[in-house]
Amino acid sequence: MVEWSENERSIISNIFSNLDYNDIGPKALVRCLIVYPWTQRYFTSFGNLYNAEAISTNPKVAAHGIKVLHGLDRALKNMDNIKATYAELSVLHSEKLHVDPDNFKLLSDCLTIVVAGKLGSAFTPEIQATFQKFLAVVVSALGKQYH
Amino acid sequence: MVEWTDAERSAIINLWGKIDVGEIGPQALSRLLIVYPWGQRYFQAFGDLSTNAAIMGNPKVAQHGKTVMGGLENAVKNLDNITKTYAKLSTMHSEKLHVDPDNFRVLAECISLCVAAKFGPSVFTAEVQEAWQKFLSVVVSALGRQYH
Repeated sequence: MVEWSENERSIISNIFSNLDYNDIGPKALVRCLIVYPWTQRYFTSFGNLYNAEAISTNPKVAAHGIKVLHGLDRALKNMDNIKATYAELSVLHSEKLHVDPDNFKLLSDCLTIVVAGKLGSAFTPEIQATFQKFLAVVVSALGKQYH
Repeated sequence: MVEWTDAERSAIINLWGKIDVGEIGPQALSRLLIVYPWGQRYFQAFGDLSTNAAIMGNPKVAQHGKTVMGGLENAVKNLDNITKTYAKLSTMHSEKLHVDPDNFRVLAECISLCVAAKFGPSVFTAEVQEAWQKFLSVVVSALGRQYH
């Protein structure tokens, strides 16, 4: 089981309580689709993803970004049991959505970049380490039920 | 050979022009040593790395961070020939320094995060991020190329 220090718990909690999900969610997903363009393959029903401009203004991308970011709330509320918390979502991503689990890491990298851009100098190495640890546990949990 | 669009070339060159290697280099290397502590194994000669504060205040870390970051200048100037440009450095990292090439990828990640934090999303836009990360991944690949 993953161990979290009190400090780590409070860092994670602070990051998320200061996050505007409606802003950060879309930004992270938009970056993922632009920086790693092969990820667009999962969103062919989203309409125009033809260039960076189209992706950045696509309302379906934005809505989905918000939804995915809120999905992290489950981990926040269950930090001592992230694996079990995401078991169903992991099965969904594997068996229904057929998402290559490498993509979870790519999206988590983009989310980290967006948070770093927002926090600026407040994105200290300690905060980076804690945030990346949290996301790595989530990413691992989401890939766990794949076979 | 890696293909660069004009937009990517100019994004990389513009961003590079804004980067102070003496600032970002030390930050990126400190982060690597803090966030991925096994990286410290390569820097036994650097003295005190026992706490985050020690790492961030360590002058040898700072100096080395600056050196490594400055090494990217060669790649920026030789975008069409990065593999060859880094062939010697690659051999050195493999045969003399014995650095696990996975560390190049991890340092590149730390560099991108420092750049994102420093310049914010209005400069480090999604398109700039795409070009910059593509650039770093070519550098990382070139540095790992001569390993065997």
